[in-house]
Amino acid sequence: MMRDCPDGETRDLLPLFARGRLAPLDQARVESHIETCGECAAELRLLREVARAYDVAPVDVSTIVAGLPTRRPARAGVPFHRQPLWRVAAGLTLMITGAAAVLLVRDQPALDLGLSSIDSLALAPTGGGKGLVSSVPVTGAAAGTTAASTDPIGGGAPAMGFGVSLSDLTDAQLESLLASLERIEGTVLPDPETMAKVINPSGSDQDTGRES
Amino acid sequence: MIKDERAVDAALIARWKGGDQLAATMLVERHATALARFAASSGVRERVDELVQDTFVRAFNSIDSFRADSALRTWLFTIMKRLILDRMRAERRQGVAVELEEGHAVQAYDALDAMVADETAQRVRRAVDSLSPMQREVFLLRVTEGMAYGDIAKVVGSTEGACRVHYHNAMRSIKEIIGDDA
Repeated sequence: MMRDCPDGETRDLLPLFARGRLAPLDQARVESHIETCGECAAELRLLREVARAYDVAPVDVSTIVAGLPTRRPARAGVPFHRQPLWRVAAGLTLMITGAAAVLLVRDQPALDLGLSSIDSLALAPTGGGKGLVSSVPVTGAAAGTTAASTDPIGGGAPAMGFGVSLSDLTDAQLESLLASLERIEGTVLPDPETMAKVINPSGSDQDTGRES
Repeated sequence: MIKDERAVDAALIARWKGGDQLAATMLVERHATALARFAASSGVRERVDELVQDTFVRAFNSIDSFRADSALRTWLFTIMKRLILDRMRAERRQGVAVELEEGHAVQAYDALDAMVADETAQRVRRAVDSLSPMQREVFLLRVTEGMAYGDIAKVVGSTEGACRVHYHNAMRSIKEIIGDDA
């Protein structure tokens, strides 16, 4: 019976060596080992005999290829709106439009208050309680006159931005603001369905008659 | 070297996906003979070319599911193995006498002997055919294709370590048989 080489690692590589599937360095190492090892040389001969015994006739490639499916380029079947370039263009347009809108708002003169900071955008209460409108901060002497023009119902209540504290207001502006708030409290809500209670001007709570 | 082959296969697949039909031809040229050899070593005697073609058709139709973490040839072998089993089941249903077991032992030497050129080859085939189905499959993939144990494990559905053991047990058995014959 054939004996085994004690160098198991090299012996394990013999089939790959026989098929030329080793990296060049390993191929050279195994080759030099075989030159001095009779066991590995004999095993290599046996492996080559096995490979030869299972060799087959060449396959007719052209017949196989003729039966293969054809593949169209990936781009051809993609709808126009789903093509990558179109998506990028649409995204860029959206970004540019958004940026332009922000710049336009920022560059808008803050009415005649001389303010242009983004801080001047704020949510302010209005005299009629009809919702929220953008307003300008009230600063300095001009506040009382100009802010009034933004109030569609209150007619004189100054609007106040987030960047302004009450201590910045003049006495006249504070009075005007308080008067405006009082009018808000006395206003009938447009949609009583959404509220359980309203606050009447006298300050006492009044049930709407609706069970919660 | 094996990495280079994978890179070549990956490039050819990419070209074929891009519409280059010549790349498909090159892929078939690279792997068709190995597939035919695998079919023969798995006991397929008839319509080997048809089986190879079916393997490629199935592979190209599902090429998008091929993951490059294994060699293309390994993937092709797994496809062919399923087709071989399908064919064996179909033949069995039709009454053709075949063994259904995976990698079934080939005992009918008469037709085979006509194909084998010399006595040594016949002796070797007898020795290989005496192995267990798993040992034979692992041994032949290692010897005729020079595959790594990891790739063999994917084809036969086993582990790398188990394949290594199967190979060395098979080698020992064959040496014993060949030695006794000599």
